[in-house]
Amino acid sequence: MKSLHNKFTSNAIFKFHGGVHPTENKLISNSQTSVKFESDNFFRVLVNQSSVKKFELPIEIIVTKGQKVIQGEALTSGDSSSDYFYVPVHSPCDGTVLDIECFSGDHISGLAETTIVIEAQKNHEKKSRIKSTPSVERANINWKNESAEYLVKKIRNAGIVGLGGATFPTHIKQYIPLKRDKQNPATLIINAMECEPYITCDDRLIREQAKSIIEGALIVSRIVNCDKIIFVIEDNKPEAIMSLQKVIKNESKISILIAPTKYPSGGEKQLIQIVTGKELTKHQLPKDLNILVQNVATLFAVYQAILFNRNLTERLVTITGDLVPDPRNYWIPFGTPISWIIKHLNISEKDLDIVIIGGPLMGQKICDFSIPTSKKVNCLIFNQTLVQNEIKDCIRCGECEIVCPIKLLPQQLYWFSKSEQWKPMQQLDLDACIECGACDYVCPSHIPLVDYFRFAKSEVKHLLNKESASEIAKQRFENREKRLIRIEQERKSKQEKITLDRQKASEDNSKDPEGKKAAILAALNRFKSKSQGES
Amino acid sequence: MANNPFSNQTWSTNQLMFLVCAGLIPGAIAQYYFFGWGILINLVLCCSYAISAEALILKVRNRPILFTLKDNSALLTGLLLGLALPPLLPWWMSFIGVYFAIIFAKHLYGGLGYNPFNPAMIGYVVLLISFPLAMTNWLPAQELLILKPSLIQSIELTFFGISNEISNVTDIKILADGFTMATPLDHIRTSLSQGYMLSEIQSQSNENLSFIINSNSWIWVNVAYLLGGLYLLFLKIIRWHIPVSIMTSMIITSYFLSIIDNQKYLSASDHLFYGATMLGVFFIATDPVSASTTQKGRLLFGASIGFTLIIIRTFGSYPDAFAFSVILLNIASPTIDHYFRPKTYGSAIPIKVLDNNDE
Repeated sequence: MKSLHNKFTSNAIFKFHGGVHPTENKLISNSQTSVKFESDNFFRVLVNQSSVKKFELPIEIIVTKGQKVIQGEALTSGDSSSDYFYVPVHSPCDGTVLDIECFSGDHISGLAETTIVIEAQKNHEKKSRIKSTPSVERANINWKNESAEYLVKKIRNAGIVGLGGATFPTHIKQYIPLKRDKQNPATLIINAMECEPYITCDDRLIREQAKSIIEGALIVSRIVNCDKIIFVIEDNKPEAIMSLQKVIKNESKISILIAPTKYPSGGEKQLIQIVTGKELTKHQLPKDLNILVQNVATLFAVYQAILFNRNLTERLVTITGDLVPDPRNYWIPFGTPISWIIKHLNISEKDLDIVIIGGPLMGQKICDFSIPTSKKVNCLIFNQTLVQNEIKDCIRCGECEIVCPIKLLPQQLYWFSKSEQWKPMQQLDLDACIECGACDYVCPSHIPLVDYFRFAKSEVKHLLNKESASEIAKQRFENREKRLIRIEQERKSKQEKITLDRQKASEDNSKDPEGKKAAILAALNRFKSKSQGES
Repeated sequence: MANNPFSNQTWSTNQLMFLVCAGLIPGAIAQYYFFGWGILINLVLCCSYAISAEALILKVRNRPILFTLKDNSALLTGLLLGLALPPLLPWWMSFIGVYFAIIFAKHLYGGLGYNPFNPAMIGYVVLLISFPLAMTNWLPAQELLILKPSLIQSIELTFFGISNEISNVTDIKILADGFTMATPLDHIRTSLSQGYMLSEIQSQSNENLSFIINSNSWIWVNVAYLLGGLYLLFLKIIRWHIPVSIMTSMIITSYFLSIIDNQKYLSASDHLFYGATMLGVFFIATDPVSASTTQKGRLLFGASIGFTLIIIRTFGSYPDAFAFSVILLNIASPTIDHYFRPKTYGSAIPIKVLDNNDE
């Protein structure tokens, strides 16, 4: 019994500052096997589902209204000719493109985003219902022989982004292979923490697809050329740890690090701190420490893309909360409207005011249920209407500082943001805030601190933009002033030269009256010949 | 606007304040046991003054009254003052103290969370400076009294200053053996100022049974507050930094003083268990609003309180100095916070900051 206990207790050496221990609520959904979600007959696919947003470079849509598409067909351009940062999205079903329109996306403000509406063919629906987990015929490919460039390109074309919730394009992370370094061995860290309460999709995925995930990890380690693969998982998922241990028995390269359960240990920076004890400085990326961090769901998608030629069109989503009759994880195609999920899973709509997308700490409240799911939606919480906590004044208790994983002073930042003093906020390192919500969680006055910080961040960004713009304008103005002065000087010097010449000429004339007379004569002659010509 | 997170299971401000009030109960009971009805009358008076003052000023400031009263902070101020004021203090003095605390020290700065000073201590200091005699007129332990005022007599003394059989409050202070008796700290400083050595005072006191009883009662009161404070620490309502640093610095400072002259300066244990030390350490200095907020800052904040406390007790002209040292450090806490920041995650590279001319 003791050995079993040891098997699942933390063996992590390093830890990060702060953190909280909210009630996990994971048992609601993690005991049921995941199933395929029977989808609606129409989908609304967001055109941009990665975290990279560039307004100056619109995404190229390669389908037109009325066009027939098949399941997995690319809807937007994502090959090497389009912008490097973009990843394509794919059709979740066989069907027809009904429309391409703007619709409120999954952004917190309900900002309108371009979506492609696809109507599914009726017969396809029946076919897809039979399969419980996605599987297509295994492609005849030996990835060990393929070049890294080929694999990365394939990952990009499959539309893979970080499925832990950040949705950063995976191919950008993998593009540069890790260095051969004695001190910092090239390490692939696999994020299986899932530290947010309620969410169990990674847990379930590991339990059901451990073998595929490990193969995905080996593919990625081949791409970035790393020496070590470390699975990092919280000690509250013994079943998942067990199924991983079963599979990796014979792989010497792979190890499992069991970390104590604490929120937000699944954040990339915190994860690296748990594994290596090192902190990333302000402008460092994990690759500067010779580390690549990938989520388990991403690895599963990589596995599917490389070995099955399957593009990313669905993901495991935790459907949980006390209003859900059958809470579990579902394979939900991207583009399924939330209202359809509510209808299909018999969630009583009369008690439902809001849906939480993501976990309860970092997630977003959604009131408009017609919005579609996307690659970043890993959990939907349908809970009875929550009692709004009364927001009181800050009593400066300092609990927020105690839990902040990056050792900020949330309480002081709050005072400054209330009085809109952006400069001291920057001095307090506002930009380092990861918006994990631990400070919100412990605040006895229930102040939505992270909301204040998000606002302040955007304000600071705006001001910095304005500042750089005004700097450019100032430069331009100064250049113009200089130019005008230069032109003026040139004009003056020219004029001076002319007057000097004249003076010189007149002086010459006075010295030489013959010359003057000759000049007058010449002028008279010129005048005469001119008037003759005219008459 | 979104209000993350959606699962909040920690103490709310209302609960925090209420639990701090609850933490005062052991100390209050001990004070009642040793010093009689006067304490309870003080508590009832101060709490009702505090709540009425808060309601009044909220009305004037056009703020929600019930919503704000629910945070229990006014109740806490009332309780703290009620426990700090000497028993049988005239009703109008406690009225002045509490109203000044709530209106001037708290609401003129913007209410809970905005006050730079601990309101209860401001109220206390105002009374101490305005009515020094009444405020240092602490009763001796009850079992030493010939005239033990009953509840009715205590009420009469508080409201009218006179009661049948007792003509005024100072009468009560004449003990069975005909001596008068102040608090131990007061007694010691008076004796010291008369040129006695500490060992003389103590040997004298050892013969003097009333001194032992009186000082023991103070020790028990402090132990009761210590228990209440440990309960707050256990519930994580207060953190350890301030109490531990105050006590450590008190011990160190008094140790150094006693090295210089152990006949003139009190020992650390006397300092810790006489006077209002434990009440101050756990309930007054830890007031989050007026204390330093960073963890390192709190250590310095507490250490400075401990140091100034001993210095004022030893060299100042007031027998106890908790209120003064707390207020002094309240002034300093924004500066302390400014200089004692934690090192942010990955803060090796300096941060780009907006230019000065930008506004």
